[in-house]
Amino acid sequence: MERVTQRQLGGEDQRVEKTTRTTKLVSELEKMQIRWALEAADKGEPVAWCMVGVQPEIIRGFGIADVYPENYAAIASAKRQVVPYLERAESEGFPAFLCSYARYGLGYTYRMLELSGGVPPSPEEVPWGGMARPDIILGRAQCEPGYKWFQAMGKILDVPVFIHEEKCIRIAPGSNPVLPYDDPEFREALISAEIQDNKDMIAWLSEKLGRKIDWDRVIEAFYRHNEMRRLWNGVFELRKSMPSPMPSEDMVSALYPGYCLGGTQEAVDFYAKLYDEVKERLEKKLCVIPELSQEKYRLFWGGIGIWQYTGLYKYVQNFGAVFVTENQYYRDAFVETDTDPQKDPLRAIAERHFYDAKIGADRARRFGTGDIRAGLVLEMLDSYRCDGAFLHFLISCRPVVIGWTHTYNLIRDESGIPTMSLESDMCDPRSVSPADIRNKTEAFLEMVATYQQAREKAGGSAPGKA
Amino acid sequence: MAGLTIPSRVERARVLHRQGKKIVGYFCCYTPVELITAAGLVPYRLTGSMGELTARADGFVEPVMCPFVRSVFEMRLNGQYDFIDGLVMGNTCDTINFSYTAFDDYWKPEFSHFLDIPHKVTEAARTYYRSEFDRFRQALAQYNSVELSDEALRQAITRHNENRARQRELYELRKDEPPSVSASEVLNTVICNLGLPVDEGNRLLDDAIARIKSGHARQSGKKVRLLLWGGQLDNTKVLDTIEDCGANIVVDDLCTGYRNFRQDVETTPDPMAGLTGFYSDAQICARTYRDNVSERFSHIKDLARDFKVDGAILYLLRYCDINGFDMPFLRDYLESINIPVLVIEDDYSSGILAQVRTRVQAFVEMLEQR
Repeated sequence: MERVTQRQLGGEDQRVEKTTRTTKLVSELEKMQIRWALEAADKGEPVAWCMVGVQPEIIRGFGIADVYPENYAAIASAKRQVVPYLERAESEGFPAFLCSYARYGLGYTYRMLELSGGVPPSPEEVPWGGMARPDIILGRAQCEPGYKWFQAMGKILDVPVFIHEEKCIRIAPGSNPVLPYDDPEFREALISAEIQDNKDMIAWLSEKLGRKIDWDRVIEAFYRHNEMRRLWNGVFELRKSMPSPMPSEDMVSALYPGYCLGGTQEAVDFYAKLYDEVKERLEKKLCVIPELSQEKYRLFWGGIGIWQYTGLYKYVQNFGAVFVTENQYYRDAFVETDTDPQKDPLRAIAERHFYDAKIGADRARRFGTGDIRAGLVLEMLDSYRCDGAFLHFLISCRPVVIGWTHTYNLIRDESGIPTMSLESDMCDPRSVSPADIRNKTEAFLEMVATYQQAREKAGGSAPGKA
Repeated sequence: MAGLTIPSRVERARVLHRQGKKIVGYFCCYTPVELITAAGLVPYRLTGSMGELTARADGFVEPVMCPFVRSVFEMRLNGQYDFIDGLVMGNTCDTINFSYTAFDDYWKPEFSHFLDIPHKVTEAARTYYRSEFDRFRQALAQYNSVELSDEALRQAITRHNENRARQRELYELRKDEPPSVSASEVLNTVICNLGLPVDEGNRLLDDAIARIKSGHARQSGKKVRLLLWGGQLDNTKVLDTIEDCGANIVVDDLCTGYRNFRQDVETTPDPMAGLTGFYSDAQICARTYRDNVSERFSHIKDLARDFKVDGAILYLLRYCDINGFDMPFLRDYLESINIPVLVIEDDYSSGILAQVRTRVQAFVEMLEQR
């Protein structure tokens, strides 16, 4: 495969240079949030370990210092500080096929228990000061680890746990073209259920924390969350341009404020800054690969980021390829809710979720499938004019992996874009071989190049070409 | 001594299918089979084919998912489930949840429905359960062009409760020393029952119980009585392997066993209320979040006491995350009440059986010496 640069990109040392300046601020935000929690714990203020997605408005409404073990595990993974904790969890009897984020978190929890609730002291053992001991644990039932892992950590540390429900509606357009989301009774049942779930969580938090929720802060967080969404989606829209103004190796970091700082001004400021920078890059037509005016091949990244070998995102750039987008961290533009959040913030939050789910279902139905993720992938492959797709098969993440083969088949049937399955794991380096990944990638890029040439010869414009 | 002869539920399902009866396949204990029966359909609990390769399924579903569900997918591709007309799945576990659209897109059943099952036992969950069951009821009625009245539902609940009672009666026979029926015979009977129309299932159970009581007693020199815990176990090879090691499996807490029929649906003026309460509250399974250890596991202590078990085997199917997260805590709980535990992880293949035998033999020897 022809190289386009003299630089040797994509090493295994995990130091991946970001393209956007703003993204380089992410690690400072992460350290800040970890530090907030440690300081809160020192002052005797409540700390919550939260599953990503637990209602951010409610967290802000109570002023809780929130820590995200899933994100922390990803940080530890990128810093190659995970194996001892994985082994600890496994030695306690947790099977090695469980989510590696969970195994890391469980190992960390057992270590805390050894230290009588203290944070592991050594920076060689845990990154950035460690996760503060939780006073409460908030899981979310969006996947099994989302609540079973958090239940387990609560049991080990003897900390109260609340599980936030996640509604899950799947459609089957083949056998039932009527979308349940179009049924007003169903809509109301779904919204009412979520409102009640949130009320239950508020009542539980009030009891555990001995304080009431501040509704002004909830409403403020709602508006901030929406503004963050608008900017986040705006960044994705800008990234449709050619050359790509922001590659995937940046977004897999830039997801962080949206996932873990929802409802905060810091998150809004971050995405506003990012939006401005990406827009500036677009206007100046700056290519991610400085040696080129435009990427030769535009690649799609499917699934969670490859924390074990983030260098892969750079490696492909040796050959003129850029990962221009990814589905996992995409957010649709915010849809105005029917209810004024000033009057009924819980109903507004529930409506927002309802409309998010409906948008996904409508999109999937346009492609004749009930698979909401596949619908988004197919749309993105087209709108981002991708030449090839990587689908990241994570050995220990069933919620993300199950369905990828189906998506692979749909891509083949719908567009014929070359697609590669890439196996690794979020947190467990014992399952990953960067050398093997590079070999497969280079061979795959040959296929992408061939496909592009074939499409040009057939008279179609190759997606990667303007 | 002659073993129990169990008819083939597959053959029966094919006959019914040819006669125009609609067969609705489902995976899990959380499926309200009463609604399916009340709609004039036949609920059919799907089982896999342990030990058979799933090479064709590789082209459609992932290898890191529950091997039982993969096996079912393979069986459909191979035509073994060509009599299934409808399919019901739900977010009862991540594999079933996230593979639903692949099942729907490739199986192309006439009827396909996904149930959003709450994860908690709360008033909000019961309310939502009710709305989901109402939605399912409407979908079934529309599919089979029937009214699905409250009276039809009451009758279905009664018949399924009778079915549960009969299964409990079958299990009572395992309290004998030695148990009057082997674990394999029980499993085969229960699995067959879960694929027949409920009235035929009742007759099957009556017949099996009568034959056992009339002199089917097994003579056994085995001293050790075991409880088997786990998820989906639908093949007798594992059971035979364990029982060949000098033990009797006298009770279980399995998805394909006692978990299905521990309690009955309460008879309520509004039958949907009783139905919702049953599936919301009575299903004790790792999948539903419960706060404390007692709520999660004390029913197993009761089973162990009532069936006088000497030890427990925790059977973990590979990639079963729900049970994987619970297993260490259950192990600790059982050991804290002086019930020794052996953990077996299975990949749903026959290749595991030799290892199982070795480990169970050592476990049984240890129990014999206690």
